[in-house]
Amino acid sequence: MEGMRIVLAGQPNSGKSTIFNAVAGYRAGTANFPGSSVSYTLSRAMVLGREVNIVDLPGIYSLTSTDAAEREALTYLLENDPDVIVNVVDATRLGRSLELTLQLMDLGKPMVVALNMLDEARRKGIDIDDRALAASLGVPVVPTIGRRGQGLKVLFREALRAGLSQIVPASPVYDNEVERAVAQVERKLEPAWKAEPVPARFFAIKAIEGDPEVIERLRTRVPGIEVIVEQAAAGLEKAHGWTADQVVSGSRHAVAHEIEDRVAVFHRGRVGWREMADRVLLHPVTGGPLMALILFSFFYAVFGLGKHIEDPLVAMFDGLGAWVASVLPPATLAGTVAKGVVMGVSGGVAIVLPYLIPFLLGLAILEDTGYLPRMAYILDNLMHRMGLHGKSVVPLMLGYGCSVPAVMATRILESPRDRRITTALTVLIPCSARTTIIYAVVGAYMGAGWAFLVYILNLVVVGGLGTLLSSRMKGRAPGLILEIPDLRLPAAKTLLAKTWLSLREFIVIAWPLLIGSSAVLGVLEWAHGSGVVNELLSPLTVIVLGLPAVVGVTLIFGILRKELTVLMLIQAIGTTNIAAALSPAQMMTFTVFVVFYIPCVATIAVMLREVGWKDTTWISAMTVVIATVLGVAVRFAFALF
Amino acid sequence: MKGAWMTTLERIEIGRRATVVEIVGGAGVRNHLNTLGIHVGDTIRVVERAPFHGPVLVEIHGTRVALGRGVARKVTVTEGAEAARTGGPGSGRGYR
Ligand SMILES: Nc1nc2c(ncn2[C@@H]2O[C@H](COP(=O)(O)OP(=O)(O)OP(=O)(O)O)[C@@H](O)[C@H]2O)c(=O)[nH]1
Ligand SMILES: [Mg+2]
Repeated sequence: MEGMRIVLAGQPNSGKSTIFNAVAGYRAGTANFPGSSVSYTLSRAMVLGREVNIVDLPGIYSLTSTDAAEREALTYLLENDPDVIVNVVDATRLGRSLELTLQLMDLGKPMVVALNMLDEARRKGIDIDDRALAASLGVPVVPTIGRRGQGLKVLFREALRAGLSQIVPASPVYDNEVERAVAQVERKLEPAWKAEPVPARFFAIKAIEGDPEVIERLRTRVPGIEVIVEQAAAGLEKAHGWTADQVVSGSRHAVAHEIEDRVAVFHRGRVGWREMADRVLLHPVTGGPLMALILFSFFYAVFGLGKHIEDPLVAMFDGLGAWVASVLPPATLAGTVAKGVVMGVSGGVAIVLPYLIPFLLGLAILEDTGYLPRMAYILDNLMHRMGLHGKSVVPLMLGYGCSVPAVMATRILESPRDRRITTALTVLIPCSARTTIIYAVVGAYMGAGWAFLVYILNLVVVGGLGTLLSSRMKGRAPGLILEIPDLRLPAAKTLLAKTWLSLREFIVIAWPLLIGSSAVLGVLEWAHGSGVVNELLSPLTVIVLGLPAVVGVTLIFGILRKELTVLMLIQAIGTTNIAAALSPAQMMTFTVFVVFYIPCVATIAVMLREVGWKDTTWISAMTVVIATVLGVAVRFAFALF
Repeated sequence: MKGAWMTTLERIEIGRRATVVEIVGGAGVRNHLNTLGIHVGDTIRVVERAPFHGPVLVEIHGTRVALGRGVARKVTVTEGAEAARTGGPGSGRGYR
């Protein structure tokens, strides 16, 4: 079969993306929290000398979706007719994972189970007989340790074989009454079900479980089916005394745990550092202060490290700039373009990278240890006061890296209202680009304390705005329901790969943009074009914010990429020494304004896709208003004190 | 099994076990909890309770799940572990 499509499906955090990356190269984000992938990733890969397509799906707990990320995975499975399903199972959560496996088996596709995380299972004292598991399920089972690449060759060989043979697993058999009810609905569907990729049985089960989307879908195919479904469900309820959905899922639960009991032996696991660490990290008294300490140290370490690297680099590039200016006088067109290019290059190397690299590494560590869901747990009651709940902490924290994946990550929130509010707040969080600005302007010239103040101010605004928006929107999610994965030591290789993935984005996309923009600004200056822009913006920049007129054009470039504001500023004032052009009050005003004002184009694009143009418009407009108000406030606060 | 010792998961002390009797408050929360492996008849251990009405951290079949207080209040339980999974819908029957 040419271009066979192998789809990785499984519960969240089971290691799908890790296995995908092992064969496709690091391109799908991995992290130690449920919901690290919220969209599917497709890649071509060579498996045993054959070219295949491999698809990494977002994690799903079951085939009934509770949030947008799960919906995406589900839609993919139902609409795209995969050739093989590789069900990645976390061996330390075998019973629960099998509940999904049983549902996947009803999709009527060839299937292979990857029994992953065997190293963790061993540590926890869980022994699983993979042959017995394969026999119980009637599906090939391959033991794997995704993180070390163990077992993956065998896994994909089995997947290929399953794809070529197209042997479909037998449907699992549930409780007698459930089977009777399913058969009742299935019989009605059968005549209309010719050459469908997904068998009628799957939809019959989902309909009896009361999935409204499925019932609607069946109704258009077989009018009147909802009556039969209702009869079947009522019969189940009468026989068991529980609602039909509970009977079906309870029956699946029972079957899954029966299999687990048969194939797994639990020994006494070791109580290791993970349990000890969790005791203090989540302790009612120590948990909160420790979190503050962790975040503060993170902030300080990045700043200290960045500053150490930045200073000598800036000195060096200033020397280079002076030399270029002496060879090619800035008054000529060639000179002004050369100056622009040097500034673009040096801005990237000397100002952005020193902070960006340690920052991305630190963030990767937070993600891979599994600390993010713990923050969601600790901050849940605070978020409740804002009218959201703890899960929103995950996208917000990711926002410190980059707003684009952070806006995508709001897909893990169950209620559309929480998603909209969290999206609005996420874009206000200073992403790594804005962090560079805070560090390189306020931090470097005014001191770390002032930089810290910008973050605190930001959090206060986010908190206030969140409370305001929450009080005006209805439809709050019932509360926090979040799996807390075990703590894990991050693998150095993954950390580096992940940092590199974000860094490459900067180098390939942002940097050329920086250099190009610098050259454009050079030409603009030479032609006195930037003066016109500055003039037009001066009511805002000069009169309202009290900044020098030269910042005008930098704010326009900043919409492309936030880093551009500082880099363009340096170029406009002709030196990397920002203190030469801005007073401390102006630095603070400028930084605060830039942190809050309009999201960059990439963020606007992703917002348009995720929340639609209406929300995108009011959120963007709101950021400009907030930025202006705060900018003025900072200006006058400095004037007064 | 209704009796005087029925309470909600919100009320269970740290380190104690409880058995789920019912999940109230609509199919939404119930389905969500079901997919995370929490069903009627299961035994849950409370690992930690966050202060100021924060969430409770519970352990179920070897995995840990954080449940907001509002959610924990919807889980009716009896203190102590059942000897076997009984009384749950669809439990222990039918698989050949
Ligand atoms: N110890 C161990 N860790 C693993 C193994 N496979 C993956 N991991 C780690 O488990 C975590 C989750 O892995 P991911 O690949 O992001 O999981 P996923 O299934 O894609 O998760 P979602 O996208 O959230 O559904 C990461 O921190 C991985 O490094 C394994 O076999 N052993
Ligand atoms: Mg993933």
